[in-house]
Amino acid sequence: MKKIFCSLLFFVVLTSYSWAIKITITDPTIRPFKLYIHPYNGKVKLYELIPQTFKSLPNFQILEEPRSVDFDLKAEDDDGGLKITLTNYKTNEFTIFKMASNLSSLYLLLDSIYEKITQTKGIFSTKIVFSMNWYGKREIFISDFYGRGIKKITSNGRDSICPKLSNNRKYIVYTLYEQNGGTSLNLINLSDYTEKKIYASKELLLAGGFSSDDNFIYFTSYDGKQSKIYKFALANNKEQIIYRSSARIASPVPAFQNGIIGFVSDEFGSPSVFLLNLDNRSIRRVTRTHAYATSPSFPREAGYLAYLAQIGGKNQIFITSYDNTDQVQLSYGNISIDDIVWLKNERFMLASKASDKESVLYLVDIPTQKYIKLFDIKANFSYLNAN
Amino acid sequence: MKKAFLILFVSVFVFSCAKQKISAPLPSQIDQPASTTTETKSPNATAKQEEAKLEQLDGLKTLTPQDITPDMIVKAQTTASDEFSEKSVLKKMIHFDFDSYEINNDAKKILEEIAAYLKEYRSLKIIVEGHCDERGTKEYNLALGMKRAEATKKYLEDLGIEESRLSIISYGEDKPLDPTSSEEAWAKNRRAQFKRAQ
Repeated sequence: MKKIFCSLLFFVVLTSYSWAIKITITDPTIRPFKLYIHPYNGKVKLYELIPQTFKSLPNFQILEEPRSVDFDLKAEDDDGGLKITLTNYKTNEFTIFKMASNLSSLYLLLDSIYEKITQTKGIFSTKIVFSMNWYGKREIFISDFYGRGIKKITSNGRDSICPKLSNNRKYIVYTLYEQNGGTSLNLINLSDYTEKKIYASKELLLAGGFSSDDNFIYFTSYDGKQSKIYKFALANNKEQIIYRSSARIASPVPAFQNGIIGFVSDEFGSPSVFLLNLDNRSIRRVTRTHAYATSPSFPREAGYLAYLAQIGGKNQIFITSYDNTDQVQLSYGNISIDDIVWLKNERFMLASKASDKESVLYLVDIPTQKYIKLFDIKANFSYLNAN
Repeated sequence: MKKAFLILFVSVFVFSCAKQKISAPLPSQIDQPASTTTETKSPNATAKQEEAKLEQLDGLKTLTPQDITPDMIVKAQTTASDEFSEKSVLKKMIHFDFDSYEINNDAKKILEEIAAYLKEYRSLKIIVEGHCDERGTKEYNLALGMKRAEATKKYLEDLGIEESRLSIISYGEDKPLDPTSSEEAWAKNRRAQFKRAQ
């Protein structure tokens, strides 16, 4: 059996204040971190998620024997929780972590271990939000990374969609359908689950996302004739229209740097991804194919973005530079992705696939294109967002 | 059979203020000078507080995917508004062609009936709901549904119904009449329907 290794390396080069980017393809070698995990027969059942997690990650190689390892992990019971010792055999450095026997503590621990080994950001404390049917109406749900603690956080009895999580994971803004027509934007404080209406309209409002400092929310309104993109200041509850168009506009997603908003518009026919420069209010069309393009998602670093485009009836993931001179297709085949969200560690993306009867959430490892199933629910969930 | 392994490795070089982020660390990055240090991190305190806070909140029961059963997640599948009697003209729906918001001849006839009804019951205010089939993207379909609702409202206004009595909203593809994926189902789902405003 012959194996074909196709390796792609993007060198994204940009200069400040410039949109010019160059993506070059070359052959990298990805060296996995060799990790040995000592057997654990203690009382903390959550422990099982630690080896499971690292076994599932393509940049880790879990060894059967403690030979030729880069790192090893040893767990011991400690006051109802766990004491974990991580040893780095290259540096002879060891690190001790303590974990309480609860999920939040486990995710913090997984992040700490991942960060210590890879020197890049952990992703396991990521919170995931989505909208899901609940007794006939859509409500908003929040979940941890592996779907072990899913909470329904709205009980509106009216449809609630488009939840967006702030970067500090303290707030969710979402769209609520009002009783007498129209919609409103509602802000949930996740520390006490209190909620307040921050903006209401007879038009269709779609929550877009928080600015990188979490001081502003971007959203769109559409009345069937004109679309507007708004910037809403949370400090004084003042909104400002930053763009208007007769086209249909959706998904206003702020980039993390450079004052850019990504959005979808049918300004030139089929829905395409556009970028709005907040400094001079100019727009730039990114995708130019006839395929429907949607779900723009930015990594933490500026210069490129991911989006979905319909190829042969299936939504596939693409990554492109802002000027679309360099573009790579990241997914192929039969899975049609419904939503994507780039995580804080740019190596990873979340992707959801929802059918009428089942929804699946995947972790996408971008360098290896490996899809790691995080959890599935026997229901249709949509409007995925995460932070 | 051949297997193709596609390996994408993304490195970001920023010559201004940004820094490299995406690449997996290379061997050299973990070959640090040997040293022996001990540090202790304790995520316990904040995590315990967070858990305790969550447990105090009524109604915020934690679920796992296995806890979510079909009876909880009754589809958002709708029928025409139940608030109207079977004979009410407001129970009727109008349908649209694919990716279109044009009012066709069949729809015009129904809207004429609805306009006559609204002229008879002058205190009645209605919400026009726009719906789409599942093709296209979710948020784009919300906008398309809005376009359908707006076109329907405009036609009713042209028939003499006051704008103040008509509101519009879109549910995009979220509330199909028929959740299956077929031409027949999609044709049913591309529609505008009516609801009494409170």
